[in-house]
Amino acid sequence: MTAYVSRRLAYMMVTLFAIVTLTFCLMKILPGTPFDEERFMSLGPARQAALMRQYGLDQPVHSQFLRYLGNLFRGDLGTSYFYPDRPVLDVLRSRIGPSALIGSQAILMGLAVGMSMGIVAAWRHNGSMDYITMVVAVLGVSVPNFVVAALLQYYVGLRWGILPVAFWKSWAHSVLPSVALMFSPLASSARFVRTETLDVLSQDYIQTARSKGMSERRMLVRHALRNALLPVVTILGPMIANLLTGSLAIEKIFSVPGIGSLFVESIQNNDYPVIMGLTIFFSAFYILCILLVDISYTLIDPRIRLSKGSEGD
Amino acid sequence: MAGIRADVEASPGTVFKDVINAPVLSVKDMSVSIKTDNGIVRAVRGVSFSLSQGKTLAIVGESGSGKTMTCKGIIGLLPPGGVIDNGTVTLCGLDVTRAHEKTMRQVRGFNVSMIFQDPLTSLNPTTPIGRQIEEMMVLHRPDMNESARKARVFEMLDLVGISNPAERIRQYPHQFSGGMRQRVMIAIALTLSPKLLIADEPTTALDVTIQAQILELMNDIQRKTNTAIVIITHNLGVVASVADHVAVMYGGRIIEEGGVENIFYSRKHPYTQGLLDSVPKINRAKERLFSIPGSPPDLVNPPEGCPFAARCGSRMRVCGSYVPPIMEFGGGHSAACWLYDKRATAPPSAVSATPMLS
Repeated sequence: MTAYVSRRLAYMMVTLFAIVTLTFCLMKILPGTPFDEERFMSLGPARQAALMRQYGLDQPVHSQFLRYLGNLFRGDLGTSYFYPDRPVLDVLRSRIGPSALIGSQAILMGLAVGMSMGIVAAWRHNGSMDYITMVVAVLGVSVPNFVVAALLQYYVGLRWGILPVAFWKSWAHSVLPSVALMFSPLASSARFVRTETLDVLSQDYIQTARSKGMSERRMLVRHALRNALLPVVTILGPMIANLLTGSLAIEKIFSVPGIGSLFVESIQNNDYPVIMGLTIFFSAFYILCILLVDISYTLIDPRIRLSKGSEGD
Repeated sequence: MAGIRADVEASPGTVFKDVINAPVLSVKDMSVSIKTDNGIVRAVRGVSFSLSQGKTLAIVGESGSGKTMTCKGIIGLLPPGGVIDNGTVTLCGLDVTRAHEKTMRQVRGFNVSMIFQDPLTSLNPTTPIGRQIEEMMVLHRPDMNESARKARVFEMLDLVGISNPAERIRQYPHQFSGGMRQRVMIAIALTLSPKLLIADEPTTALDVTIQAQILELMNDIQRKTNTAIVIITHNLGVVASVADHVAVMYGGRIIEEGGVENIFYSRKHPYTQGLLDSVPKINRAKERLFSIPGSPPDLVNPPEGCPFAARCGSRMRVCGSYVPPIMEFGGGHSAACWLYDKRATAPPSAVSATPMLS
C-alpha cells in the first residue's frame, strides 16, 4: 500500500512536470506582455522595457523556464504582476475559500439528494419516483448551470427576496451559487446510483439477503448500497476536483471572489506567475482526487488490491 | 433446540402451533401466477405435497416447469408481479399465503432457509463471510450476545467442514472456491437450525467431485439436525443420492410423485420415462443421447388437458382436452396420466416418450 502510494506520487511529479512545461510554453505564445495594457501606456516604452527587465522577461524563454523551475523546487511560486508585491501563494489563498465553500456545499447536497433518489428509483423500478428521478437527471445534465443560476437569481433573489442575489458577504450569499452548482452532481449521481443499484438488486446475493428474513431497508443499506457505490466513486474524483476548484460561470454570475474568476483575470492580464500557480494547483488537486478514489476502491471492494500481487490469499 | 423454538413462540407477531407430528411443510393446491409484459404466466397450477421432519423431497423437472416458483412461493419471495392466487401453504403451522410480510420475515431464515444454485454469486462480495453467517443471528436472535454469535459461527463452519475458522471468518467470498462457498451458504442457511431447508439446484454450478461432497454434507447434516429438505434439481443422479420422495413437475403441475424406488423402477408417466431415458449411460454403446422432442408448453396460455400431451408418445384423444386425474398406485406413488384410467385404450406397458410417426 505504502509502496503503491509513493509510486503514484512519483508519477504525479512526472505528470506535473509535463503540465508545467506545456502551460509555460502555451502561456508564452499568448499575445502581449504583462505590461502593455492600457494602464501601462503612460509609462512609455522605456519604463515598460525596464519593468520587463526587472521581472527577467527580456531573457530567452528557455532561461526564463529554467529559472521558474528552480524557484518552483524551492517552493517559490513568484509574485503576482497584477497585484504587485503579493506572492502567488497569498493570492491563491485569499481566493480559494469561497470556491471551496460553494463547491463542497454543492457536492454534499448534490450527492445526498442524488444518491437517495437513485436508490429509491431503483428499488421502486418503473414507479413514479423512478420517473421523477430520470426527469431530474436528464434536466440536471442538459440544462447548463448558468441558466439555473439566472433563474435562481431572478426568482429566489429578486422576486421573492429570500436570499441575496450576488456578492460575497455572509454565508447566506453562498446558498444560491451552491444550489446552482448542485444540480450537475445531483443528476449524475442519481443516474449512476440508479443504474448500479438496479444491477445489484438483480444479483443473487440480494435474494440471499431476502431469504435471511431481513427488512427491505436493511437489505438496501447493508447489501445493495455498498456494492452499488463503487462505480459512483469513479465519477466522484473528477467531480470533486471540478467543483472545489470553482466554476467560472457561477462565480462570474454571483460575483463570487473565487479561484475560478481569478483564473480568468490572470489570463486576461498575462499574469504569468498566477497562471502557472493556478495550473499547478488545479492539476495537483485533480491528480490527488483520482488517487484518493483509487485508494477508496480498496476500502469499498475487498476484491480490489492496489499492490501488484493481487489476491491476498 | 427446544429452547430456541420456545423463544420464537414467545416473540410477538409469530404464531406457531404445536408441530410435533404435523408435517413441516404442507402445500395444498397451490397456484402461482406472475404478471409479465407478455401476459400472466401461470407458473404453478395446483401443486400439492407435504414433507415431514428429517425427510427429503426432490422436485424434478426441466427449466420452466415451475419448480423454482413453487419454492419461492413457499418462502414468500416471488419475483415482482408474482402471487399465490390459489391454495394454501402451511409451514410449521403457519399459513404462508395469509401471513403478514413482517411475520414472513421472522419465518425466513429462522424456520425455513434457502440455498441457491450459484454459490459464486449468492454471497455478498463486499462482506466477510463470518459476518454473513452472523447476520442470521443478528436478525433473529437478539438474545445472543457477540461472543455467543461468534461461537455459533465457529460451530457452523466446523459443521460444514471449513477448517481454520478463526482466519476464515474474516475472509471475503472471492477468497473461497466454489465448493467452499456453497459450504458457507449451507452454514448460513442452517445457522438457526431451521425446520426446512430449500435447496435450489445446490450442485448445478459445481464440478462433479465437489457435487458429491456437497450432497454428502447435506445428507450428513440432515442426519444430525433432522431438518426437512426440499431439493430442486434436474439431475437424476442427485435425486438418487439424497431424496426420500420425488415430485416430477411439468408445465406447472406435479405429474408424478412417489418414493425414489417408485420413480426409478416403476415410473408411470411417459414424461418421467423420457427424463430417465435422457440420462447418459456409461455402459451403452456409442449412440445419440435420447432427448424428448418438442419444448415445454407456454405457460402464458397453458394448453388444455395434460401439459405433456403435445410431446407424448402415448397420447390419446382425451389427453388434449381434459386434465388427467391423479391415479394412486399405493405406497404414496401417484401419477397424473390418462393411460391408467380404466377406459384407456393403449396398454400402460406401451408407455413411451417417443412420439409415434403418424
